[in-house]
Amino acid sequence: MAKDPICGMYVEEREDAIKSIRFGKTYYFCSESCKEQFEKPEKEFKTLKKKIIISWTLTIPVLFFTYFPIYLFTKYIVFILATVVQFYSGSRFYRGTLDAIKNKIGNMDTLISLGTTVAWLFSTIVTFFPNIFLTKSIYFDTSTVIITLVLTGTYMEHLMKRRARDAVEKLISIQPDVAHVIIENRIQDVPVEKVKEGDIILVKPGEKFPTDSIIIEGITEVDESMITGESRPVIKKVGDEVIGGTLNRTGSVKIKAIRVGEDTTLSKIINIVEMASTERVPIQRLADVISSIFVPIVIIAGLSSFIFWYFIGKIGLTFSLLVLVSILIIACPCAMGIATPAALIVSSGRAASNGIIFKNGESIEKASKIDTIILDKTGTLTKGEPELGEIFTFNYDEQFILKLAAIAEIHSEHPFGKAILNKFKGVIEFPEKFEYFPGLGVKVIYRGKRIIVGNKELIKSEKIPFDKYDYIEKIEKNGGTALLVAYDQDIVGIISIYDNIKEGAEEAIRDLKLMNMDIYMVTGDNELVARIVANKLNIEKFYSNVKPEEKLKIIEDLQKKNRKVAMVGDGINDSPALAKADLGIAMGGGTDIAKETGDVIIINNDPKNIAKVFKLAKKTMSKIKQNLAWAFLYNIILIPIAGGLLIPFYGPEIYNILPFLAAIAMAFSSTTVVSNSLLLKRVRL
Amino acid sequence: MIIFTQKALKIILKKKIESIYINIIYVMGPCNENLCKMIPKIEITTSPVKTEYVLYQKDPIKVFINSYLYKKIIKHGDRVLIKYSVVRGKFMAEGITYSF
Repeated sequence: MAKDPICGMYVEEREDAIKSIRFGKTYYFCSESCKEQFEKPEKEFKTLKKKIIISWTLTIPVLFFTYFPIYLFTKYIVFILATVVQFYSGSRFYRGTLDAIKNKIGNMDTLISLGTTVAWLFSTIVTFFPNIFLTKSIYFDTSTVIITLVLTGTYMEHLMKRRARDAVEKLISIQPDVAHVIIENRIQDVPVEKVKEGDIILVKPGEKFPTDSIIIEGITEVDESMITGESRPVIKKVGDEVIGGTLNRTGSVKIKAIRVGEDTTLSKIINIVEMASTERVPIQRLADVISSIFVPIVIIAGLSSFIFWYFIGKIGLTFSLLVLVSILIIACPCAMGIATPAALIVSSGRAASNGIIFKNGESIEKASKIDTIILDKTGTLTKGEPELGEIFTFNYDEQFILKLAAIAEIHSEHPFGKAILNKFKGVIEFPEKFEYFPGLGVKVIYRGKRIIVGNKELIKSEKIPFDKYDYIEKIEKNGGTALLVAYDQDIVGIISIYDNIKEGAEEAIRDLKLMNMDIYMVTGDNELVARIVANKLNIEKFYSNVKPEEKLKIIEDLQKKNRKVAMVGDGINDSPALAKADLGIAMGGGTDIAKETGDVIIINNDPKNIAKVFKLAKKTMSKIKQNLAWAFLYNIILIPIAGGLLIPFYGPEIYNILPFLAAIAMAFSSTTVVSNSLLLKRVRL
Repeated sequence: MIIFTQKALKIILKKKIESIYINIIYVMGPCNENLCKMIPKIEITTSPVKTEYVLYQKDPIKVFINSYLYKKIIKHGDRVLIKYSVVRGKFMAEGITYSF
């Protein structure tokens, strides 16, 4: 079943269903009007604007003629003007009420249409049959002012909501419309929706990459800031992957599409961000329970107050009716309904623009409660891509040692092997025989002689004499790993390999400490390496020699002490630990976000974003609480006031203005919630 | 884990119910606009509705759970209590974290 993105109804994904394709994704709708609102939101906006203009144009003369009845027939003019406002401008409330009746529920429109219809109907009867009631007063001004103010409030709310969705809309709009597909050596402009996997596309400087692809010709600088939040351009060459929607800055390149439509990174990000802002957050439970029974309760409260003031309070039919109208108008279930989603949508959009993806709404609430954080060393705090440091040579030159190591490692998939191959510039010959010893190193036969590259245990087991322990000690003291290179029967060199600390890691730890987080580092490396990295980063607590399954035990032990634990690690290798933690934060590579475990994904791999996750989550939860408090207090305080709480102090005459005040309060109650949520855009992260 | 109250068990035996289905149903939110979402609720039925289920446990009766809800229950380690409301005349579930 698919969810209608406009009204939230569940729709069967049938062939003949009402649907619309946007950015490769198919959306299903319950009705043509929902589809139209989705495809042309500006049309709905224009209609609302038109109705407001007509409403104000007619309401002002209604008010004037009500208080200054120049001629006897003025009341008929007022009736005509008020009727247009009631049934043309106010038609959206009747439509909403019909929808509510169809779904056997009550909603905000039910209350507005009921309230204004009571005022309009009563005034119409008094206008045409003045002898039915004792009063001669008409309240067309009440119904028209209420409709006009509520419509104006709705318009303001629309404007605010547009701003709330800004970040998500920006994501949606970054994909280009057309791709220059190369077909039989000719360039053909094809709509992006029609690009297929494997298509060869030309992307010129200044253009956006139409879909996730691999560069097959050329070199360029790519601005990925719209996806990762990272402002520095990244150099991309043949074989490198580019994300659809990112900007090609300098070179003209040919690319091959590898992911299209719904499978692209951008499409997945949009999907996750939109889903996250629509999911339920535990804190919302009470608001949901109340808002689902709110409308019938308000109608009962309105009728009870009417009966009380008419039969017991004896304030007369007119004022009693105005009590009913005021209650129906002032009650605002909408503020409760949007208190959480409004904050979530601003927050998840803000997070996305910083390269942070909250995979669901609940993860924001969970992140706000975290007090303990476990950081995996490799890939989170350190680069995870080993780099060669100093090379110690014995009787041979450095280039020869590197060549031997490169020959030995040519078949190796180990990151250390890759680091050696990256460093060696020259022709590498293939060895005759290759043997890999997991955790120890490699042994090859090259031109009849053996080359061994590995740790001292491997050297020892191969019975090669070795006495240069001080070199190893020196490398390990600096946080590196020593790789011994043996040629035939002798140790000819020692290569040091370091996993350097990531840019921003120190700042990240400092920020987390400022937030009073209890910080732990875990690593599979030995204690010495772990201690050096921990010291450099000012981390007091660490676990070394930790196997992946032992990470779960560490998390469990902390959870048993009632700690709320977040685990930060690689989204694929650390999956079990990320799932076990109260909050899993995956440092993603930027392209495979849907596959990554974790409640939060940091797609730009920037450790500084770890602290931002918690800051934003705390601020969002605080906004949700403020919004809910506002929505609850608004209704708790104002409904009794509308119900006659002020009559003992000011008399029933207060109802000459109270329905107007009720309409103003109602019109701006939801706007207050949305504009309060918008403040999240200004939060310093 | 799903447990039953004594009252619920009595009703199950009395009505010879063989399995129950824990579903999510959606009711309209309080306003007609896209920010104001539908409200999910848990509903227990004794026959399946058109959705995907996971067989959660077989004892004392078979309990099928909506697959989405199942993932959430597992994720939170929820301890769900099934009880029978005499006033409403139906089974109710308690203890499911509100995040579905």
